[in-house]
Parts: sequence; C-alpha cells; structure tokens
Amino acid sequence: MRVAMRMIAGATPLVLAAGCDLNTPVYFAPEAPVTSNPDEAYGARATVAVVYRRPTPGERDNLRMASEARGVPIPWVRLRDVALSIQYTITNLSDRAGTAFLHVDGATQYTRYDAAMIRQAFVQAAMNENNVPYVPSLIQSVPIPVPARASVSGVVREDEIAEAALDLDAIGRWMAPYQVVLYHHSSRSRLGLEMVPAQVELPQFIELTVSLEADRPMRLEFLVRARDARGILAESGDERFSPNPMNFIPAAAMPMMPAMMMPAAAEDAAAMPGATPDAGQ
Amino acid sequence: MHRASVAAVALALLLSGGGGPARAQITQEPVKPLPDPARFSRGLYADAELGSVFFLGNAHRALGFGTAFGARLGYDLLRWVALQAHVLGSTHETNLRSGAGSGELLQLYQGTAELKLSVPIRQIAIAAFGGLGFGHFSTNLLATSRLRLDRQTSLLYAGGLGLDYHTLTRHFSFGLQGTFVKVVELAVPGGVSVTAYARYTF
Repeated sequence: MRVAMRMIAGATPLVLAAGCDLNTPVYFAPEAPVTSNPDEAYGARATVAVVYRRPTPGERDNLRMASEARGVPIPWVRLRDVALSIQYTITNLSDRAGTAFLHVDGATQYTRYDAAMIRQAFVQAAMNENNVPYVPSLIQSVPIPVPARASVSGVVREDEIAEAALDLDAIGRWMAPYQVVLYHHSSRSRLGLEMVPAQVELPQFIELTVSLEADRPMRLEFLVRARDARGILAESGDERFSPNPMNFIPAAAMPMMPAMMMPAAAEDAAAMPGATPDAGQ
Repeated sequence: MHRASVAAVALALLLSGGGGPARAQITQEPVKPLPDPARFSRGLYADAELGSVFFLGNAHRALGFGTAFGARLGYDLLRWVALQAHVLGSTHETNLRSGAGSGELLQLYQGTAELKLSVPIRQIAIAAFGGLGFGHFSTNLLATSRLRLDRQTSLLYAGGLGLDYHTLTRHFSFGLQGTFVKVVELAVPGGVSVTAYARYTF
C-alpha cells in the first residue's frame, strides 16, 4: 500500500504535465512579414487561415439537429469554442518617427468582410474614386506612434476579435447596417443588432486579414494565436474544413441587379435542411 | 562511651575508603560515526529534481533559461550499474527576433530511458549516464520562428554526469546532475539541464 501511494504521488506531476497540453495555444503565421506600401489605400496586408478539421458525420448530424431545434443555423466553428488573438510587432524602417494603423478584416464560415474589396466595389460603382465613402475595417487600431528605427509590439485581444465576429455575423447573416454596427461597441450600444436573434450561436473567424497603414516605411510581423477548447483545430492527418464564405458587398456598392447578390442567399442555403456546414464546397 | 567512640572512628575509617584516586575503565574504543556503504539500500529508487534547462546556439536567445522539474525511477542492477526512466519538464519564456510571439510561455517535456554507471566512494558516488527518448514542445510557436521546428514531438538523446552524496541513513541521498540533450528535430547544437535532486532508495 505504501509503495502504491508513493508511486501515485510520483506519477501525479506527470499526469498534470500531460494535461497541460489541453487548450495550449496554436500559432498561425503569415508566409512573410508585411511591409507598408504608401500607394495602397488600406496598406499592405497578409491573410492567415486558421485551419479547422471537418466535422465527422456524427458531428454533422448533431449540428443539423441542434440547428433545427434552435431555429437558427449553428456554425461548426463557434466563437465560444476557439479564442483568437493577434500578436504583432511594427518596426519603423526609416530614420524618422512615424504613425501606423492596424486594420483587421476576416471571414467566418458564412461571410467574408474585406474593406479593401468593398472600397474597390464602391469605386467601380461610382466610377469616380473621389466620391467613395470611407469603408471601416472590422477592427481598426488607434494611431500607433513608432519611433525611428524602433519596434512597437501589441496585441489585438480575444475580446476585440469576438466583437468583430459579432459584427461580421450581424452584417452577413442578419442584415445589420455595417457602418452602424462597426462604429458601435455591442457592450455600449445594441444599435444595428436588432435583427440578430437572441438564441444565435456566433461563428468564429476562419481567416484573418491584417493590414498595415503607415506614413513611413514600416514592417509588420504578426501571429494569430488560437486557444481551442473543443479540439476542432486541425492536426496532421485531419481533413481540413473548407467552407466558401460569401463576400459581403453593401447594396450601395452594387450598381447592377443588387437582388442577385443579396447577402442572405448564402445564409439561406446553409440553413436549408440537409445543408452541411461547408456547403458550397 | 569508650566503645561508642571506637565504633565511630572505625566507621569513619571504613567510609573514607582509605584507597588511592579513582580510575575509569575503558574496555573498547567508540565506533566512528561513518556509514558503511555496504549497508546502503540498493534496488528500486525514486528521486525528484529541480533545476534549469537552457539551449545552445540560436535557441539560447529564443528560449532563455527555463525552470525545470523532474522525476526519476530506477533500479540498481548492481552496485555500480542501474537502469532508470526519467521525465523532465521545463518552462521557457520566448524571446523571438520577430517580436510577435515573444513573451509567450513554452514547455518542453522530456522522457528518456537511461543507463547509469556509477563509482561509489564511501558516501559519494560519481555517475555517468546516457539514454534516449522523446521530447515534446507544448506549442508550435517555434515553427513560426527562425528555428523552424515543424514537429512538436521529436526523438532526443541525453547524456551527462552526476555527483551523489549519501546521508547517514540507509535510504536518502542528494546530488547534482548535468545533462546534455540533443533534440533531433531542433536545428541547434543541443540543450543543457542542470538539476539538484533528492533520492529515496527503497
């Protein structure tokens, strides 16, 4: 008995150490650092895909039944299952102090929001680049002063990413006016979120696009940090979850037959009985 | 009266002893308090260790000095040779050149099977050991750095030296160990762990 107790006491730290692997973060990096380009309106950018595994047939059936019971489609990649944050470092490559702005856009399994693409759509619709409204990104940083030849580090926090996910879902699936939603924080004002059902399960981002806008030559290095509480991040050998999110384009930026490109079309398809979370693949 | 006086004098003489100075009798020298190594416990032993792990080369700046905790379970086949299983976990704070990813905590878990050869000299034993096993990094952070470690789990080789001091009891000893570890997948010269341990031999 004494020997057994001693062995248990000795094995406990090992078990705890092995358990520490649960919910340890996984990091996703862009292929290369981003160097600012003053010629681009929304700066230089890089997109990082957060890789999730495909649901098993059993998980897919459970998801379908839960969606029917709840009355709204439940995403495979849920906000409450995976927490995302972005750690970044901006390096000023010039000999003069400068100011940088960080923009974050992205896509859930339902909708993609790309401020640069929306602006381009406005330009094409207006035929006059000077008459194009400013299109906000999902997340915009405050001005970041960067001293000459120095680096500044920061974090786009998990709660900021969560707020952006709420905004994107409201814009993409529930017809929220994008400018109203993006300029109001949901904790202070529910303006624009009136059509979002109370029982909705919010989707998490499947890709994040980070842009650097600066008045001096600067370099941006960043990592997307994911904490997976449900084990849906893909590991080696897993089939990759590859949905086809719809690109959000405001009605005002659609000069021809806006009804054919209504953002609700893709969401309806996903809500159809029998539709799979990666419908459209 | 006369008889009483004589009796009193005789009694006084008797009680005074009338002999020479007292002497203690020493029959045997006391045993010196040095332990007999032949009486030390041998066989199954377990120890717990605490120390530090650091890497050489490019990984030294990236991972710095990590705090390490470990445990070992072994068996003395002979007085001078033993087989042991060793686990060690160390926590490191990252400092990557890119900046993004710095300040994160990263753990390295090592598990090895080792052969230990020791030379006991009274209470002290000098040991050399070597073995192989597996190492596992807790996150994939190093894959995003210049170290380009794509696999979190890797084969590793370990070897080192130790100094053991046995107490006066049969079961307890303490010691210091230095181990060189080569994580195969990590493109650096290797790592070094320095630990102090307390051992109990059953």
